[in-house]
Amino acid sequence: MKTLSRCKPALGTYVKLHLAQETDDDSLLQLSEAVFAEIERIEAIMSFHRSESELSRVNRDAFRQPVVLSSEMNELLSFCAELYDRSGGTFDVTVGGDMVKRGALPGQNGFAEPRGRWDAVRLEAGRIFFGQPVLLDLGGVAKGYAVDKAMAVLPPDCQAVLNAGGDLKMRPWRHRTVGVREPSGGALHHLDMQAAALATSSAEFHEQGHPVTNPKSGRPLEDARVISVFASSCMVADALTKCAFLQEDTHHLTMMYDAECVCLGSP
Amino acid sequence: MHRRSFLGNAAVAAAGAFCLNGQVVWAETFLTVEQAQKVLWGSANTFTPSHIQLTKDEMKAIAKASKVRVRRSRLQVWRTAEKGWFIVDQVIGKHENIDLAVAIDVNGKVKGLEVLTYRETYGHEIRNDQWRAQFHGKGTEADLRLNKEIRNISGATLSCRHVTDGVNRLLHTWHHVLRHL
Repeated sequence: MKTLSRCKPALGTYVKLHLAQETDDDSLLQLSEAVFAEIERIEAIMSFHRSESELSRVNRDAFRQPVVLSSEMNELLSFCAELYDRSGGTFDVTVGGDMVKRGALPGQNGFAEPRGRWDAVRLEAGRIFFGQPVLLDLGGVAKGYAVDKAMAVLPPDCQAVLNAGGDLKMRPWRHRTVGVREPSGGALHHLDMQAAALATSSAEFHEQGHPVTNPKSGRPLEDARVISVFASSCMVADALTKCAFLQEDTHHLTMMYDAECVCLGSP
Repeated sequence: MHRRSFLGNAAVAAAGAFCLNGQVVWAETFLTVEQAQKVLWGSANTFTPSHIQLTKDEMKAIAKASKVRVRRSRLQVWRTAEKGWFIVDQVIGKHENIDLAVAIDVNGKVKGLEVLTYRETYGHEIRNDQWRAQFHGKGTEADLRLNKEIRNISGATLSCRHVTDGVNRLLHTWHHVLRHL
C-alpha cells in the first residue's frame, strides 16, 4: 500500500490530503493533483474574494437580469434554498452584505447596496434573479461542497482523508476517530466518526468576530461553543454547523439529513 | 527508473507532538524538499542550490514593498534550468508555523505552493493520554497507515493569510534580488 500526504493553501485555509492505494507513487501523485485541481476549480466558481468568480458575477448582475448558473452553482444554491426553507430562514446565504459592512469580507466596486434577504432571490430552471440587491456569500457551505466534489474524483479503491481547515471527509470512515478542539484553550476532544464527513465551526482563530452571522439581526454571533456535525455529505455537515449555532433545536434538521450534531462548551 | 526517482521514498507523513513552554506543538510533515521540487517543477528539471544572503537594504526594501516583516537574511533557494526558482521558506503565524515551498517562474509569477511541514500550537496539553501515546517511538520510517496513526483534527477554520503574506514577501524578494542574478 502506497501512501501520500500533501498540504496546500486553498479555500482560504490549509487543505490536507492523505491518500493510500495499491498503486505506484506516480499514480498516487497524479490522483492528488486531480483532487487539488478540483478544489481550485470549485474555489474559482464560488469565491467571494475573486472578482471574476461566478459568485461575484451573480452578485453583480442578478439584480439587473437573470443569470444562468453553472451546474455546480445551481446544485449548491438549490441546497441553500432547501435548507433556508427547512431551517425556517435561519440558514441564509445573503449575509454577504452584512459581512462586507463590518469588514469581514472585502467590498467590491460596482455592486448595488445590498438590501434583501433570501426571500428576494428567485432560483428557477438553472437561472437566478434578485428582486432586491443582495450579496450572497457561500463561506458557510462551499468549503464542504468543494471537499465533496474533490473526494468524488478519486477511484473507489483509493483510501483518502481530505481536510479543508476542519471540514473533512474520509473513506473508509468507520471505526475512525477525529480530534476536535475544545472551546478556548484548544485541548483536543476525541470523537468517533459517525459518517463520512465532519465539519466544525467556532469563533476560535477568527479575528473579525464570530464566523456565523445571524440573518435576522445581520450581526455576528457571540457564542463560545464549538459545534461539529457529522453527515454523509460535507456540504450538509458544513451548512448544518451554522444552523446549529442559530437554532436551539436542530433535531428535525439533523433527522432530515441523517446527520449528528455535537456541541462542545456552552454559549 | 524514472518513476523511482520521482517519489523516491514513498511519501509517508510523519507526525508528532511535543511540549514547548507549556504549550503543545502538533507537527506534521508532508512532501520532502526533493518531492516538492519535482511536483512543482516537473521531474525532468535540474535544481542548482544557491545561497543568498540579503543585505540590510534589500531586507528593508522587501519589507517596505510587501508590507511583511523580513525575519531572515538567508534564503534557501534553488535555480531551475529555465531560470525559475524554488524557495523553501518559513511562515510564522499567530497559531501556525509552517515550512513552505514556493516555485516562482522566470517572469516572477507563482507557479505553485506546497506546505512541507505544518505545526500548530495548542493552548494547553492534549488531555487524552491515548492520543498522545501514539507518538512515542514513531520514526519517520514507520509505515504509517492512513488514519491509523495520522490523527485528523477538526476545529475552527484557520485562515491561511500568513501564507499569502509570505508569498507576497517572496515575490518582492524575487523582484528586488533574484531576478537580477
